[in-house]
This record gives sequence, structure tokens and C-alpha cells, in this order.
Amino acid sequence: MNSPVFSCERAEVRLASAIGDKTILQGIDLQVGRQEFLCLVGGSGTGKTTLLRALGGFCAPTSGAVLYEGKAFRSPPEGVVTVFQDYGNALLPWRTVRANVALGIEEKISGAELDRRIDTALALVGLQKAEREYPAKLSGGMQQRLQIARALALQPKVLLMDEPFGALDAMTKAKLQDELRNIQASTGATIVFITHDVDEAVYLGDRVVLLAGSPGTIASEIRPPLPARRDQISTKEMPEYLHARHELLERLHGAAR
Amino acid sequence: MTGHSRRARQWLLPVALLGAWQLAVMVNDGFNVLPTPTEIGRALTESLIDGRLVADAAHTFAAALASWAICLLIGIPLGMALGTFSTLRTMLSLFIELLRPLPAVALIPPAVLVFGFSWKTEITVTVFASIWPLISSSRAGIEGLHARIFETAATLHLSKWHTLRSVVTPAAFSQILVGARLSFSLCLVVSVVAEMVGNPAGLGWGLVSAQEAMRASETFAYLFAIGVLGVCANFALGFAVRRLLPGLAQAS
Repeated sequence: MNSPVFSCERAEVRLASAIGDKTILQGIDLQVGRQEFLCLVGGSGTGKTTLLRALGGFCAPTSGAVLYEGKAFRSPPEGVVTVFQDYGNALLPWRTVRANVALGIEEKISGAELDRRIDTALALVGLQKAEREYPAKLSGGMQQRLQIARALALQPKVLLMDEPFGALDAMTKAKLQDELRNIQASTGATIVFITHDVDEAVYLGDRVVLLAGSPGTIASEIRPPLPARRDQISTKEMPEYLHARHELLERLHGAAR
Repeated sequence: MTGHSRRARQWLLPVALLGAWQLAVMVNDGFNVLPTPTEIGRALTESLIDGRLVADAAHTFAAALASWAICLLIGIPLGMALGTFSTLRTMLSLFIELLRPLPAVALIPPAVLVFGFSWKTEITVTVFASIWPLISSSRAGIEGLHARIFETAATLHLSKWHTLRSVVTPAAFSQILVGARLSFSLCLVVSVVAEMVGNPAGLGWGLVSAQEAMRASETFAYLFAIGVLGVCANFALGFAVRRLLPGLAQAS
């Protein structure tokens, strides 16, 4: 039970760039625990997205290892789904909300079972009323909910999320943060979540990992000692929350210097 | 402005020109090689009544439609494959660039040598001339897709076939449709040309034989019929697209 879902061992990723190969990540040692909510923070250019892409099966480590359930992989592993920041490009505009949710499961199941799975996924993000709409008719927050529902329909073991709420306003963001913690509690999924927002990282994460430098390395990590059930107002007034936030900000600024 | 008076204004210029034409030929001897619009109308009615015009138009339309179907069947998959596989692109691009600028009319003599004066010549030449916009628009449709759309398909673990059918093709569809409409217009034009020199049938051949027999009013009647066929066919295509693919409005 306590074997990690993902484990990175001295992983290095080099990517082709205009000036030849560039090392993006170096010496990454990271274990992602089962049902953990892990937040990745760091300045821009520290390789957060590349690390998430390596976990998601979009780029392989050039040296070292990235393992999912103990095995290396070269394409998105079964049970792992990535949710992208740019929902506009990730959703299919010619499909209704329902049909978008069906996309990942309609090959494997059909009929009443398919309908039930879609209904469950839509209920998890509160989109039942909009099921006949096309994505273009929805607000940004609802479109991102739709992308999350489409991922959840696959009943993934791991959700990888790249700044999913980065393009949303503060109110919508707070609401979706709470929904996401609830979704994790009810589905038992492991979540790796990128953000550049320190408040978001501390509020959401069971653990926050700080990436720094170029090439990016893991600079430090903290475990905010917060209760499992969190609340936008009271949790954010807890001394533990404020302390963790202070600590993380200090380390983030120290790393940037 | 009401729809009624706008329609009336649209017809003002053509009617005035026809009137001027009629008057000019009747009054001035210098124009008497031209038939009057009333004579053309009479020739048009005659060839409509004896069934020749309808049969010729049906031939031309059928040839254009058959050629278009072949263009769609070959052009779309080929263009999409070119957009997907860089090896294929490397292998075929020089070949395509060599063939593409060849004027379709220049292909008629060799086609006649191989197929004789027949419908095979007509279809071959028409397909050759009309397939290019489909190939390039299908290729551009794939190449223009956002990388995220492929990553989405990959992370949702869609099979290759499901990705092609449910994600890639619909995403590239509006672009492919542009080429399909262009190709359709070309098919009509080139069929008529091919009939004039390569296949003695249809409106193109009717036009040429009327001219060779010095029947001026019938020549103009055929010209008019070719114009009407083009307008009707393009209108029918637009109507079919709107009726059969209403989801497209949502996508664009």
C-alpha cells in the first residue's frame, strides 16, 4: 500500500531548443505517494511543466528513471490522465458537454453503462444542467470543469494538472479548489498539481515540492500540517497555514535570488 | 429595404443589359452576327423541348459529380496522410510539385491517345485538374491542428482509429471543406472543357457543335445553360452542407 505511484530516480530531461539541446531538469528524486495531493511550485523556467509531462508520458527522461507503478513508460500510462491549462484547445468544440465527457470511454463501454459513467463525472464537477451545451457557450470555469469531468470519466488513479486554474478569476478559482479537494476525497485519486500561486499550493497540497534553478532541481519541500477537510476562510486563518505559506514564500524567494 | 425591392434591384442590371442587347442588334446592322436575346430564348426553349439540352446537362453534371467523388476519395486521405507523415511528405512533395502546374488542357491529347474520345478521357482530365485544392487543404487542415489536440487524444488513451475518426478528422473538417468546394467548382468547369475537345458529349460538346454548325442562337443558349448549371450545382452543394452537417456551425 505504501509503494509510491510515481518514482523519479535521478531523472534528467533534455529537450531540443533553438540553441541545441537544453537540460530542463536535473537530478530529480521524487516519489508520489498513493492518494497524495502533491503541489509543484517554482518560478517560470524551472521545469514544472516538463516534470509533469514526464509523469504524463509526453516526454521520456534522457537519463535516470521515471517509473509508474515500478515500470518505465514511453506514452501516457494506463490510469494516468493529464488536465491541461488551455481548456480551449483541449476540448472538442463540435461535441456537446456530454459527448466531450464520453470521448475517453466511448470505445470501451456503451449504452446505459456509458450514460451512468458520464452522469457520475458530470455530477462530480456540477455540470449536469449544461450537458446539452457546446463548450463555446460555457464560461472559462465551466470549460475547465468539463475538462476535469472528461478526465474523471476514465476513473483515473492519477490526475496530472498543469496550472488548471491559472486562467480563472479568484472567485471561480477558490470554488474549484474546494471542489477538487472534495473530488479527491470521494474518488481516492492521486493528484499532482502545478501552480505558481503559493496560497493555492499550501491550501491544496498534502505536500508542496519547490522546483528551482535552470536546469530545474528540487530545492525543498514542505508538508503543511493542515486538516484533511479545508475551508477557504477558516483554514486560511490557521497559524499552521500562515506559517507554511510564510516558509514557502521565503524559500521561493531564496531560490530565486 | 425590404427583401422584395432588393431582389428587384438585383435584377435591374441584367434586364437592362438584355434590353440594350436586343435593341442594338435590331437597330444597328454592325451587330447582326449576334442573335437577339429573344432568338436565344427561342433556341433555348426548342432544345429544352426536344430534350437535348437536358440530356447534355445531365451528362455534364454526372461527369462532374463522378470526378468530384474520385477527387474526394483520393484527395482527402492523401492530403491527410501528407499532413501526418513527414516521410511521405519527403517522398511525394517533389512529384506533386512537378505534376501540379501542368495545365489540365495539355493532358487532353495524351488522355485521348490512351482512352480515345470517351468519358474515360473526360473523367481522367477532370480529376487531374480538380484534385489539387483538396490535397493541399486536407494537408493544411492536419498541419494546422494544435499539438494539444493530439496530446488530449493520447492522455485519454484513445486508439489510433478513434483519434483519427473522432478527433483529427472533425478538427480538420472545415479546412477540408474549403478544398472540397473549390474542387467541385473546378470539376464542373473542367468537364465542360474536356467535352469540348476530348469527349463528344454533354454541354461542352453541344456548345462546340452548335458553333461549328453556325447556329449562333443555339451556341448562346448552351452558354446560358452552362452558367445556370454552375449556379444551381454550387447552390445545391451549399444547401447539402448546411443540411447534412449542421454541427459545423458550432465548430466554427
